[in-house]
Amino acid sequence: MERAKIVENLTIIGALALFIVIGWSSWAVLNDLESEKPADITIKVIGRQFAWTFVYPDGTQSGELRVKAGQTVRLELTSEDVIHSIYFRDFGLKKDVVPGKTNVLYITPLVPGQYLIQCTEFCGEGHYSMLAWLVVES
Amino acid sequence: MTTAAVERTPPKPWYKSVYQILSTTNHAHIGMLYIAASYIFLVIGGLLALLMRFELATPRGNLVDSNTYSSLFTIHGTLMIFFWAMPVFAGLGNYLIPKMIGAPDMYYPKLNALSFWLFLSAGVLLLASWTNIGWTGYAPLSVITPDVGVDLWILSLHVAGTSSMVGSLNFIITTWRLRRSDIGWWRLPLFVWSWVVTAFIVIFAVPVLAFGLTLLLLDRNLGTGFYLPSAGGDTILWQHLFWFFGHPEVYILVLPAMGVISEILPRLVKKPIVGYRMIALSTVLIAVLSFGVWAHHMFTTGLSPLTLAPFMIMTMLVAIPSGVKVVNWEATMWGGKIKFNTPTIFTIAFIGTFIVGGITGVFHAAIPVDWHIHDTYWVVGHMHFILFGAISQAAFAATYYYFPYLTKRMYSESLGKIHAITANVGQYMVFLSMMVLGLMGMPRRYHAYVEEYQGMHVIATVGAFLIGIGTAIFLLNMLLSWKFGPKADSDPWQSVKHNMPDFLGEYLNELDKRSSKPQEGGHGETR
Ligand code: HEM
Ligand SMILES: [Cu+2]
Ligand SMILES: [Cu+2]
Repeated sequence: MERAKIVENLTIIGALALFIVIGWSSWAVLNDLESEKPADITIKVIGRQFAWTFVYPDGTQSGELRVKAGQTVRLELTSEDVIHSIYFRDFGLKKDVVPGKTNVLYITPLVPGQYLIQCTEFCGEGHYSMLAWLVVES
Repeated sequence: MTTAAVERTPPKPWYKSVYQILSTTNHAHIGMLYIAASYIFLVIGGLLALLMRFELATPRGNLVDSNTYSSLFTIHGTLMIFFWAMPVFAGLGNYLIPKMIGAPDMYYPKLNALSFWLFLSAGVLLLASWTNIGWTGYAPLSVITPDVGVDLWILSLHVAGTSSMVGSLNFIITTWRLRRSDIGWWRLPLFVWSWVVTAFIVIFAVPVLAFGLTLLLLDRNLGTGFYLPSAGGDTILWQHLFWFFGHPEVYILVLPAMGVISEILPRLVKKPIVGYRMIALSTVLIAVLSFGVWAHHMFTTGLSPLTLAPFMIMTMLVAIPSGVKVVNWEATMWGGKIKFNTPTIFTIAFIGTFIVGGITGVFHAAIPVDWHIHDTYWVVGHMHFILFGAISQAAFAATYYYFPYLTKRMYSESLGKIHAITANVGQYMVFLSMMVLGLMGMPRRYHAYVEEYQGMHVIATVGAFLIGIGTAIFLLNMLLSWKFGPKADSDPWQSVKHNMPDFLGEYLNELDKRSSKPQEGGHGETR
């Protein structure tokens, strides 16, 4: 019985210590991700059933997100119909694309290449087909 | 235990008469009806899951079209949560609570019957709705989807919610008013403890869901715009309301499962439970904390870091009382006589999978990590470890354990072991593959996917069919043993012999009767 009590208390203390570490670093990373940053380029992202549209500063529109390697890109996300979510799986970043509000997501791709963009909020029949490419040029 | 009267004229069992099934208000009967109906819904939900897994074995959608796939996961998810995991424990509660506290029946037997029939009608309504908005029904998709299926889904959840409110009030009042006076709070069996706490969660959480659903119904049918930004509404409001209910709902499912494990584990290893008070108190703590974590489902919606941080902290804290329970279960097993019969294997599998599911859940609490794995297959794998590996396997353990009481017969041990092995090999194949898929970036609710995900999906599909085969063997075992199994001992787990009677209240009633004046038969005898 003695032993169980000790293990129990050690578990609680160990878990608390672990959670303080995880919590503190999460808080730091989150603030870093969410803080206003000087962006090299701002691109508007429009989600609609079932396609992505990227609007560049000069007004051109495209179904492909083209940026230069090393640029800090500010994405302004809006939706024309239901909630979508833009997911850059290779960077582990995602943000919901919500009608009626503009969410912001910063990405800074470093390595040139093609990266898959997927929708990760169920948005109806064509949800699985709401894919696009991020093309990072050198 | 067998009374003389029963032996003289073996009456036709109650479940062979439709009239008795429809009119019974006896808690043991209602309990068995609940359990039987839940298993039927489990089979339906399981078949839907197998269809999904069959579809997902190939990257292109070729078995069903996308809308059908959406209906499959919507009905599967809603069914498994509201019509399998919740009611199967409500059934156990109905059967066990009066026996454990020494009450002749529930406080309101008729209301009890009402909650069962409401639950059954809600299940039928859900199947009829065949809707395709996901079990979370996110607005505004759920507002603008035109078909009447969504309205039926809303209605079904309203009816199911009413049923669980009525049932929960009944559990609380029964425990409060009909408990033997010598069963105080610190002697109350842990299963009863966990149901009383769960019932309070139901009473606080379900009305919030009902409110959200009503707003949705108004938006859909009367042109209001609570969830529509174009009408000045807010789409995120739905998520707050849904998850204010939805996260406590997870604990509504898991607390009774933990309760029943805390009951049967000590009896299986023939050692009193370690840390009774800690287990009881951690149940209360989980219940309180569970109301402060809802926004951990909304880390990617764009709420500010300062809004989200408390939810991260609360989510981590709620893991601690769960860990306390695990430690106490392990301490109970330590040095016990572990006999590897079917309920023991499932109990150990419950504890093991709960640890896996719990640890994989903590990853979500770290917000930047959640940004990667939110709404991917990682979540699907994590939640199934809890929903199938822990909660459902606890229900299986309890079904085997109480089977000799419910049916007076014994199940087949060897078929039981085959079930345990297939279920556990299968679940790790399915849910671990799903978690790997999530890390690779496979989003959930996809009916077709890019080719690189296929390998893991094939493993998951094979595992799912293994679980399916195991479950079929399980149900055959139950049905055949019910009819042909050997007669069970009146003390099948030697609990009375080890001075831990399975039904404390009933046992004490029996002692009282014997010590005062020996009577023949007995009132309140339910079997
Ligand atoms: C053991 C066999 C099971 C298998 C193979 C299985 C399989 C699946 C699959 C393939 C999905 C859809 C994934 C997606 O497309 O996003 C899913 C979703 C889900 N399952 Fe299961 N499942 C099983 C058991 C259960 C159980 C026992 C429960 C609950 C007690 C459950 C609750 C859910 C829920 C809530 C969802 C989410 C539905 C949604 O996204 O709207 N499943 N399951
Ligand atoms: Cu989508
Ligand atoms: Cu939650």
